[in-house]
Amino acid sequence: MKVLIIGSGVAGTACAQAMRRLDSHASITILSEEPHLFYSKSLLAHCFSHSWGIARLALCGPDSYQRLKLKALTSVRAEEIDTDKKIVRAGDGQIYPYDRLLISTGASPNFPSNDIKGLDKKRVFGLRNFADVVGIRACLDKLRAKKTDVRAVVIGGGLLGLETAYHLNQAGLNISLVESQSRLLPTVISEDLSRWLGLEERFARHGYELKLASQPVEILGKEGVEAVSIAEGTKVTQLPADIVLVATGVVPKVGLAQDCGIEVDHGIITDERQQTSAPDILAAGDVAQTKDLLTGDSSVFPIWPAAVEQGRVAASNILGQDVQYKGGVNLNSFQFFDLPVCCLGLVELGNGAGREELVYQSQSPRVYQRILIEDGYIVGASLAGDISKAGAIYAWIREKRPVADKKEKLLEAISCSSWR
Amino acid sequence: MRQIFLIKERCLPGCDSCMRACLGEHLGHQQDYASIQQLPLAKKAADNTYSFDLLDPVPFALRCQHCPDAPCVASCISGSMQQSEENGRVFNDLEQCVGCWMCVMACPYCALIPLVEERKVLKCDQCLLAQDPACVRACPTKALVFYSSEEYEALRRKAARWNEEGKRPAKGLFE
Repeated sequence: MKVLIIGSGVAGTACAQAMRRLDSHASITILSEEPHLFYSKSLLAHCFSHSWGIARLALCGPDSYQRLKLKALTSVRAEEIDTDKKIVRAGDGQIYPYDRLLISTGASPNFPSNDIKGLDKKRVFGLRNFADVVGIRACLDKLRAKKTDVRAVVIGGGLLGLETAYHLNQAGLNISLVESQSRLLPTVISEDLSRWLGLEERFARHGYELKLASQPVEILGKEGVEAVSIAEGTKVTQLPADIVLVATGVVPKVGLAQDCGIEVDHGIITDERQQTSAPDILAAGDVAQTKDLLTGDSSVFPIWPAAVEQGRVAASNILGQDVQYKGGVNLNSFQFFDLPVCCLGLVELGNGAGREELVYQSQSPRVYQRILIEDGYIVGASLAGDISKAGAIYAWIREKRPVADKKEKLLEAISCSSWR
Repeated sequence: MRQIFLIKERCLPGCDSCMRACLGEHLGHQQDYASIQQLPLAKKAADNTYSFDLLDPVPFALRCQHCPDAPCVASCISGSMQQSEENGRVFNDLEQCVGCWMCVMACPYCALIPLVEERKVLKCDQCLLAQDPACVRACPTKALVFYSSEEYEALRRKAARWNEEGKRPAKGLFE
């Protein structure tokens, strides 16, 4: 059987590895439009504070592909899928036939060019692959040759925005951060945790200039960036900028699937077996839209463990086993400055959703633990300071263990700082 | 895949030989000894798997089960969490670990110890290159043993049966 995988990211690689474990004979080909084999995109921002090269991010050496007998082609962009003839036409002029096809093209940075003018100017970057790191580094080197005080404006106060800002700051840049909502990480942490953490104040204390509840309007400058104009309500101000990082989320790369008539919503729509609407074509990872374990809706889970799991589910189904994806649960973790934070599943109480919360807070040591319960099951948790119970709670969420009359005991469990 | 088991009745409270052995084995990463501390967190289900319960912890010597297909390895974004192809032991390469805490969320046994200040994750590596882990070697009462779960269960059942029949368990049944 010929299996073709488009995209050498987390899902694609997990699928290939799992497939090889299950079947030693299938011919597996991976097409990657990037010049590098599988590497960690989650660590891209770290490259600025550590001066890491691609070798530090690489997760699979060429020898491991050889050992698994995987044919991996780099710098080959899949241009078109012909679902009738079961072939993929690629940018290198070749035609790749398949019996089963996995689309794991991932996502690309969202450039909101409708809302912000001038995003095509020089020194405006997104951060999604290693080429971006190389570009940003080259740009920083040029800027540093001219002046000592380099200013970066980061647009977007989500996880990617904060992480990029954090590591650029470590690299010695002055940072201004623009977020349209009135707090940082609006989609990641609950309002309650946000107040308790006081991230805004912490970032400000470390010298970051935060512009909250501000809408970036235009990137100003002749050729390259000189400033960013932002609107705070009706007041329009300008932030001086030498370089701009756009971190306003990512969009699944659905173009390839859309063009050949596969059903697409936000991502490529897949069922529990990662099967798309086209026969013998599956999708997994950041590009796939799949079942949400907690709400039952269909959504995209752009997180590492979900990509691995979906890739493995796809692998089993490609080889004819009937394996279903349990459904995705959002997992986010971060640590800026001293406090580690983990957020699992749903984070907000929600109006009228009938959710209950169990909360434990302490100031010394600084610990925040909050579990959300809906219809007798744990549906979410936010943990800060002490994250040691995160794994146990995630098991409760995933396996849908009934809480029943154990609420008090649960509260007791999250209230003790250590389990000894 | 062999695992470390604790036979609770044999354990001498306060002896701590296992912890000192662990510390000695992992000099350089001194906090590693924490991984031997008896955090009793996993229990065995009928289907031979261990499950964790936040509310009803069951005594267990070591938290890391060195799961086949370990979820901590699958969720690692830096490639630091690895599973030895030779003996299945799961270990974390501290050089590569960036402290993203993904594995901490993924592990149902809570076997991973986040070192917040260092931004690294510590775990039991079953003394990666040694045949038997240091804690097992050091235990003076053989309360810590190193078996596959099938072997361990069989031996335990045998011992229990002999006990019922009034026979003294053969010396070194668990050795």
